[in-house]
Order: sequence, then structure tokens, then C-alpha cells
Amino acid sequence: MIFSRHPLEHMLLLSAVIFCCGVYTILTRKNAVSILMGVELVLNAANINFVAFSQYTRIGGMHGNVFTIFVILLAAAEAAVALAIIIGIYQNFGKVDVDQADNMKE
Amino acid sequence: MGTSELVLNAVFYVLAIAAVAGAVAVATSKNIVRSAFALLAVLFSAAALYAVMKADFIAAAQVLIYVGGILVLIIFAVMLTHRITDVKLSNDSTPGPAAFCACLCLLFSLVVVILFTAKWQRDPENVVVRSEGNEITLRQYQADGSTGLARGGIAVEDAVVLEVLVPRPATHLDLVKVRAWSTTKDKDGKENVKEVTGQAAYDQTGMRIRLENLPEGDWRWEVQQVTGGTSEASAKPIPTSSPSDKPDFSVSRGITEPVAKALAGDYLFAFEAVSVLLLAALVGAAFLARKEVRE
Repeated sequence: MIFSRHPLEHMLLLSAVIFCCGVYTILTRKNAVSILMGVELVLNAANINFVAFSQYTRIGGMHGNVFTIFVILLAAAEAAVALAIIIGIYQNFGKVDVDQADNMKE
Repeated sequence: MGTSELVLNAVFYVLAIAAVAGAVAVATSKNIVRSAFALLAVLFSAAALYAVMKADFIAAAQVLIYVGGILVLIIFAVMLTHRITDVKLSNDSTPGPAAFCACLCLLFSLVVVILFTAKWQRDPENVVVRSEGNEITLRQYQADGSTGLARGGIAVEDAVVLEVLVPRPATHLDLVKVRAWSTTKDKDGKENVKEVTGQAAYDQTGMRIRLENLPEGDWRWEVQQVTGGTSEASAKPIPTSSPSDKPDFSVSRGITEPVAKALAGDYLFAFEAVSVLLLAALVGAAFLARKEVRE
């Protein structure tokens, strides 16, 4: 398979691999920051899909690209809040292990 | 395959390998700082892949927001929450066979769907015009010539393929000529008409012509019927049934302008909602991360 002949399939396969790496990271990590990295991988895989469908099939004009921009913005908001929570957990528990942060209040 | 295609393929594979290697390193690295920098590689490769897909605005936004904002935040969190010296404890994981198998099954099913079950290429829309007993079908494709371009769609490259299908037996159609034109108004309100024509003898079934180096703008095209030789004077347009105020396709270099139009048009409410949400997230993050004053 050559990229220039099947660009859409190549992009979809690449994003599938990145997506699975992200899911694996989310499933196995104990560290909250690492889990956040896994979420970012999954979001990026989705973004690559959105842009690939938008650019290579033109189903519905620019909708895929606009969605990607919204996903990037929401990821920024999500990262800011998640990191604030992580720092809060760290101040309360002294570590950011999601297995041990299992009570709302000490 | 031309040189530019070879370069494009090479660039894609290099970026794909960098992205996949980075993603695997994020998932498996024992050192969280190393994981964070592997994420940097993934995000940068994704930005370059957007550039390969000619989505220039998305590539810039990816570099600015993801690499410049989110990744810096993540590295901040790594540095604030760990003693970097005890590296071994910093990125604990429980790699179980169950999680690995689940991810492999997921990947397998995704690959099967992508490669074997789904049909991704989009067929072009048919527009049928009638002329002297002939039903002529008009279709338009993107520059690659295999993926359809919707009526009123946007071509990101400066080339489109136009196809004219003529059924047998065709009468009074020795030659068909395709005329595409774009009308743009400049600052003074003067109309500039750019016109491109292509001509080919149809071979019982029709013809395909590829228009290259099209200037930006809204384009319309029509078929002209040339009877009695190839002289210019005898070309007469075949009337189309579609309304004449809508463009058949638009040509745009890059996606910044169409995306800006979409954000200021169809997505205006979503855009405002996201800006309010970003403000709320900012306030919330500042509230959560503040130092508590104990009295």
C-alpha cells in the first residue's frame, strides 16, 4: 500500500494505532498524570480521523476541521482542570496514585 | 509516480513511525519525564501530519495549543508532583495481560473495519442535463480523480477533475467542450471573470478533463456542444437545470478561510459556548489550585 494512493486508509490506520496506545496507557497506569497523557493520545487519534475524513472525503465541507478545533480547545480546558485536580490530590495525599486517592476527604 | 509523490510518501512514513514510536513510548516508558517528551514527539508528528493533509490552520493550532499549552502544563504537573530523583517510582504501571489483549483486539477490529469492511471513497453526485435527446451526466472529482467532490464542495488543491458522460447513441455530439468560470469582485466592485476551458473528443462514453492551477474562488462549469467541426463559433452551451446562483465547487488554498467562515457562520453558537467554557475552566482551575489559607 502506498500512501499517495490510499491516503485516508493510511491516516485511519495510524490513528487506530495511536488510539490503542492511548487506551493501553489509560488502562495500565497508576499515575494520574500518565493517565492524562493517555487521554491526550486518544484525543489526538480522534483529531487525526476528523481531519483525514474532512480532507480526503469532503463529506460535509469543513465540519471535520471545525470539530478538530473544538476538540483541541476542549482538551486544553480539560487539561487545565485535570492538572489543577492532580495538584490538589498531591497536596492532600502526597502522591498522585489513582489507586490510593479513593476518598473525597481525609 | 513523480518525485513529489515519492517525497510525500517518504514524509508520511517518517512522521507515522515517529508518531507510533512516541505513542508506544508514552504507553510503556518507566520514566514519566520520558513519557512526557514522547508525547511531545506524538503531538509534533500529528501537527506535521495535518500539514501533509493540507489542513494548515489545524497544524498551527496543534502546535500552539497542544505543544505550547497542554504539553507545557503536563510537564509542569510532572515536575510539581514528583521528586525527579526517584524515577523508578514515578511512572508505576500494572501491565496486565488482560489490558494488553483488550488493546490488541481493539486494534485488530479497527484494522479490519478500516481495510476490509468500509468503503471510504465517496462517489460523485450526478447532475443530468438534457440536450437534443441526449442525457448527459456531469460529475466532478477532487484532484486525485477518484474521490467525488460534492456539489458546492470545497477543493483544497488547485486542481479538479470534471467528467462528462454521454450515453450511446449520441446524436449531434461530435465534440464536447467544458467551460469553467469564476466570478470574483475586487474592492471597487468590478467583476473579474476567470475562465478555463478544456476540450476533448468524447469516446462513446464521455470524457474527463483535469483543470489545473485554478485560482481561488467559487467556480461554475458547463458543457458546450460543438457541432460541425471544431470551430469556436459553433460551440453552444447545453442548458443546465441547476440554479445559477450557487457555485458548483470552490477552490481554496489551505483551509483557513473556509474554517473561519464556518466558525463565524454555522458554528457561531458553539464557538461562543466554547469560549464561555474555557473561561469557566480557567476560573475553576485557579480555584482548585489555589493555596488554602488556614486560620
